[in-house]
This record gives sequence, structure tokens and C-alpha cells, in this order.
Amino acid sequence: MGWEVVLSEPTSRPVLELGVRLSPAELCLPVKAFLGHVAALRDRVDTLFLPRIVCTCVSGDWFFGCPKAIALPDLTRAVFDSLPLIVEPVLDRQILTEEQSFRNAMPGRNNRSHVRKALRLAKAAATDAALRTRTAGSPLHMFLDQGTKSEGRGTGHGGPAVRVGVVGHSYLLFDSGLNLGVLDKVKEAGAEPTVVFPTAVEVELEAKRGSAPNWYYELELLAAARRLLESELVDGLLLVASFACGTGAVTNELIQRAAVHRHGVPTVTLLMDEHTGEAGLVTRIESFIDLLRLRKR
Amino acid sequence: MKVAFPYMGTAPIALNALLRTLGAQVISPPKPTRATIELGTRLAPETMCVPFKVTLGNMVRCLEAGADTLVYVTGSWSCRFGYYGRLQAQILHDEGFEFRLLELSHDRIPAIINEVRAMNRGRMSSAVVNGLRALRIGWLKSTAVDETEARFRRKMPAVRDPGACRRLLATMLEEIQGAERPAAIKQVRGSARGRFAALPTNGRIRMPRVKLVGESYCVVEPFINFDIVARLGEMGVLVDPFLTAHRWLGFHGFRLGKDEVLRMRALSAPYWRYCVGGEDQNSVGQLLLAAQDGFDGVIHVHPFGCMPGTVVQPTMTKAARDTGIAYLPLSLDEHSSETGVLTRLEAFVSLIEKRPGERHGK
Repeated sequence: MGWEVVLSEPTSRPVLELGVRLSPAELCLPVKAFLGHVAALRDRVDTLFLPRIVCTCVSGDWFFGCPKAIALPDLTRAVFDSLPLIVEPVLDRQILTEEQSFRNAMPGRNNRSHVRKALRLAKAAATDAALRTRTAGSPLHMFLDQGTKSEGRGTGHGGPAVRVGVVGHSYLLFDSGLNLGVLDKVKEAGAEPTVVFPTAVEVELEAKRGSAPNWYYELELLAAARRLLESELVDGLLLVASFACGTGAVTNELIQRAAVHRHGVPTVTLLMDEHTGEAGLVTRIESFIDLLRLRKR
Repeated sequence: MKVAFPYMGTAPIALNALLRTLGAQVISPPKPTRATIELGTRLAPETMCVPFKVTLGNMVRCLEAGADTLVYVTGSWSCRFGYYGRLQAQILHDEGFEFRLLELSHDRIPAIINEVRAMNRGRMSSAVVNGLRALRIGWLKSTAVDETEARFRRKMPAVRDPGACRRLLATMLEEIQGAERPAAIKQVRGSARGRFAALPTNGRIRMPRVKLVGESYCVVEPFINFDIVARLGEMGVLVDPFLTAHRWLGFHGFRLGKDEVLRMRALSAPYWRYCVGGEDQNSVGQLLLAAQDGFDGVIHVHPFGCMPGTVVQPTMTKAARDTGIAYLPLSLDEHSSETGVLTRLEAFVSLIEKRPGERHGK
């Protein structure tokens, strides 16, 4: 579309603290980090791209984003006094096609064939990125060296090898500025963290069961947990969520009930917020892994 | 069929009558208590919002009292409320309770009609007749409750003995609950004006007016909001909640008030462009409306961790700053202490009373 793209830096403590200062205390960690990133970007750009991702259709039913994600543009406008121009395509397929929403959002750049071509390219890139995410085992594949694909350090601590399935929103699980490097901590404790990325087919199957809540992010978590429990046969499940995450409260409850009642797999939930301390996190991960190891013996 | 449904404010008075006329037996939960909320908190996910915990506790009480069918309003939208039914059903099944889940949503209307037909021994004609009778009785009771509560709210700040005012409200609600025939309900409703007017006044004529906005359950359920309407009334403040049980039933149950929805959308548009649930758009719109109508303050109540309720807060603050109206956000959950909330309310009231300017004392 002829824009030069400026990205914010990876989440760091100062960025997060900026966000925490701007946000009401009750909001979840990722939203606070988001506000920090906006604060870091707003003087460096003349346009902010803030899509309002409302809902998407999965196997014939509507699945929504969480209210906080949908309201991000409004939240941003309320928090900052001065902002660059905001381009805010409303992605609500119940009302608008994607093409219409992008054309409405960008007056002056809404040439139909241009927008169509851009959307086609973007979709191809997204499909490609999803594929690479699955092969690399991380959505950060573009930043990873080819050789460093996650390999657990295995049984450095002695005793049987334990496999821990990790489930969490990717914006939390793969942002080490937010999660204090939880995946590395699991490795350091001597277990192998397993993160899976469900395919589109798995997500659709999850939606068809009819028991899933109507949030599209959560479908992926439920599908991931299902694969970890049913075919990956992990020894334990680590649920990583942010404090005050509304959708997570529901999904984690469903996953925990399935894991404990139907599969007999122990779970532990790590709630992250800006006050989470590294030592506390390590203690909880280590004790969970010790417990899994004892069970295995 | 013994039916139970989630409890909210005075809504059960009308809903019980409606369901009973339809042919169902209704199990109505005892009023929520500390024990109910603790029961709900023990079973519910830790970071779930407080209406979920209270209604879950209530449902356990109903099941213990013999309910075999739980009725929920469900649906697919962004707020967690749409998912209450299915998650509570799963939790209660895991706890070993046996019951049937009946979900009320737009795509299940044929199934709901079948239920009503089954309650009338499969006869469609009597289902229709009873359905219309049920709607009439429900509507009459609901309007009677609303009228009584409105009189109570207006009288409370000016009454000499607030205790007598509260007792009159309780008596009248019981009378409405007990009234079976339409004429009897209308008679109670008609007497509200005279009975509240007969209470001796304390001579106060001018009183600050406060608009109560926020999430439906917190606005309507006195147990969760620490009876905020009556408490502020005792402090001499006239409270106008944007939502009452009656309006909730009409507004959300039958989707009345389209004009008002459009009006709120237009008013809130500069601040809030997309409704995500939890009465967010209404809260912003009502705050702006309250400022236009010369209210002295706005109190915004929402459950702690409520997704729409928390994300709308900076917008509310900004709108309040832009219009100059006093604004108090209150986040409520099972740990909120009555004393803490009262202290904040008292501080807020003395702030609006001492505020200079033309707004106060209209």
C-alpha cells in the first residue's frame, strides 16, 4: 500500500513500565505492554495501524476476539492526548468484507485493485508464516537461527525425562519481555517443553464440537491442549496466562477439567503480571517438574 | 419440570410468575448470602467475574432444593456472560449434580417453543394461550416492581426514617410476589404512590443527583453493589440507575428500546465506536447524557476483571474530564468490603456536595 513500516522494539522492562503507568491497574499484562509499545512508537511515525479484529467465521459459526482486543483503538484514543493518524480497519465479516473494511479505513489509498492485491499478498504471507511457525516451533522463526530449534536439555538433573506441554497465548508465550523466559526456565529445570501449533483443520474440528466458547484465540488453545493430551501424551500441562485475562479464565478451566478428570494429567497455571518475580516463577516450575518426575518413577 | 434460573435483583418476581403461568414449577433460590458467594467462589475459576460466582452458588442452592432444569440466556458474543450456562453446567456435572441445561438464545427459538408445548401436554393451542397469559402476568408484575422501586429511590433521600422506607419497599415487593390475579397486581401498583408519599419527610428539597452506570449485574443486584441505591439515598443523594430489573428484561430479553440504543451509539461515537458487551457503550453514552441533563455525578460499577468493564475505564475517565462531571469507578468482587465501598461513596458524596458551580442544587 506504499507505506514504510516501522516496528516497535521487542518488549523490554522500560516499555512495559511505560504501559503500566498509562493503563488502569485492572487490565491484563499484554494490553499494558501494547500501550507501552504505542507510547514508544507514536512520536516516530505519522500513521498508526490499529486493526479492530472483531470476529471471524470458523466452520459456519462466528468467533470473536476478546473485548479488550476489539476495543484497543478506543482504549488507545482514551489513554493518549496526542496521537498520529490512526488507520483502523474494522474486521467484522458480519457487516463488511475484508476489502470493504480496509478501503473504508484508508481514505486516499482505497483504490480497489490496489487493496485487493495487497490483501492477496498479505494472506499468502500469513499462510507462509503459519507454516513456518509450525516447522520452526515458534512464531519468532524469522528471528531464529536455523540451528537453534528448541531441543530440551533432557535429563540433566537425573531421573526419567519428563515432557511438559505448554499452552498459552502466543503473544505471551513467545514474548520473553512479558513471560520472563518461561520456556527456557522449563528447559533449565530439566524438562522438555512441548508447544504445538494446531492446524486449520484441528481448529475447525474444535469449533465443530460446539462446546468451545466463541473466541477464536481460545479455539487454538483448546485444539493445542487436545493434541498435547491425546496424541503427544505429555506428562504434565503448564498453562501460562496473564492475570486478569478474561477469556483465559474460561479456557484454562476447560483445559484443566479435561486434563485432570479425563486424562489424569497434572496441570499448573502460571499467572503473569508486571509484579511476577523470577524466583517465584522458577520455584513453581521446578516443583511442578519434580512432581511429574516422582509420578513417573 | 422444576426450573431454576440465575438470580438477579428483583427480576425473579416477574420471571417466577411468567414461568409458573407457562406451566413450569419454579425453584427460586434464597437471596444470595456470604455463604452462597463462598460456595460459588470455591467451584468457579479463580479469575472469573463475580456474577458468575454468585449465580453458580445460587444454582447449587437451587439444585439442592430439587431443581431438574437450569435455564440460561446464552449466546456467542465477546463477553463471558454468553458462556455462563455451558461452563456452569460442566462444573455442576463434575460436582455430581443431575440436571438438564436449557439454553435460551436466538438460534434455539423452535426448541424453546417445543419446551413450552411439552409443558402444556403437547397441545399447541393451550401453549399459545398460556404463553400470552404468562407474558401478561410477567409484564404486569415487572412494571409493578419497577414503579415501586422508582418511588422508593425518589423517596429515600427525603424520608425522615430510612428504615421505614426500606420496610415499605420490602412489604410491597412481597405483596407483588403474592398477588396472583392481574387486578390484584394492578391494585398494589396503584397504591405505591400514596404509600410512599405518606411517609414523613425530613424537609430536604434539593438533593444531588447521581447516575449509576456499568455492568448489568452490578447495577441491578443489591447484594453485589452493597445496596448502593439505598445507601446513597440515606446519604441524601438521589440515584438514577440506567438499568433496572424491569428494563433489563425488556431491553435484553425482548430487545425493546431500539431508539435508545441508536441514541446511545450516536452519543458515545466520539469516544467508543464499537459495542463489545458489558454495557460499555451504554455506560459511555449515559455518562455523556447525565452531563447534559445536569446530573452531579456518575458512578460506574463493574465486576473486578470484567473485560468490557475494565477496558472502557480510561474512556469513561476521559469523557468525564471532558464534560466536567464527577466520576467514581467501583470495581466489585467477592473480596470487596462493605466498609471500603461505603467510605469511597461518602467521600464521593461530600465531593459533589462541596463542588462549586452551577451544576449542584438545580
